[in-house]
Amino acid sequence: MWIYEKKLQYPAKVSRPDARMAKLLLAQYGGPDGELSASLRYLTQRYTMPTGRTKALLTDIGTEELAHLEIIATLVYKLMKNASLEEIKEASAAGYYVHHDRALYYTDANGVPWTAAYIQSTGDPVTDLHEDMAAEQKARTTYEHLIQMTDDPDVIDTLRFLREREVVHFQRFGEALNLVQEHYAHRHVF
Amino acid sequence: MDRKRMELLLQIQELEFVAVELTLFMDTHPEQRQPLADYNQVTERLQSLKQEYEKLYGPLMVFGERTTDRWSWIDEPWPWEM
Repeated sequence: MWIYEKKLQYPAKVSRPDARMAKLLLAQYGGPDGELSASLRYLTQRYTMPTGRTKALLTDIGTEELAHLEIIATLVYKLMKNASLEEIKEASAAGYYVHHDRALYYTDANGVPWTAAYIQSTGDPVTDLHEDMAAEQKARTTYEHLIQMTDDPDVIDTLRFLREREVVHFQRFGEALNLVQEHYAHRHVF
Repeated sequence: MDRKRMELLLQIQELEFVAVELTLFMDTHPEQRQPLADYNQVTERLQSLKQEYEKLYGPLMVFGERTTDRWSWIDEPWPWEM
């Protein structure tokens, strides 16, 4: 089970309302390489991991991704909260506003709704861990693109933290992949 | 937002970050002793900071600190409002 902790993993401050940046940040909310995809990917792949270590790692990283999802949501919420309708129109966030007002919804930066087709779960731990490593790299790249899209120092600070987490997760998944390959190399199947 | 509250929260976030990082590391390196010792030290300190925070500002988790006479879990602000 999961128990909610009433705090963010890392501070998520914004300097000023910015509907344009809010819309772009949705890339990491409901986008293909975003935090929802990441969390649900690892949490569904963990059931068929072969060792205690890999089951633990996918559970723990999948859980941390939920905390990142909440951080992105907080940034979007704060950036939209006091944005005027004029700003929202100028930021080409009007289409989003028509459907969702200033509420949070799982789409990417272009308004495309989240789909389970973004993730895989093949039952082959080597394949799944390769996907996970690729996913972390794609998320890192997306964060780098997002950082280039704003000059708000508070938003950048939070995005840099999230980017670094992708790097650490990639490292851990790489170690898990080695462990799984060792596990199969030493298991004798007759 | 109350400055003292935000400072205490930041300390908790920092310590919990260390705990998260050590957790992931030990998932793939369970045979190493030093990170385990660090983990035990950090979680103890984290626990006491969380108790201090909960006493002043209400529960961080349901089933956390025992509530007194009032269901303070519903108190605002929620994390995205702070």
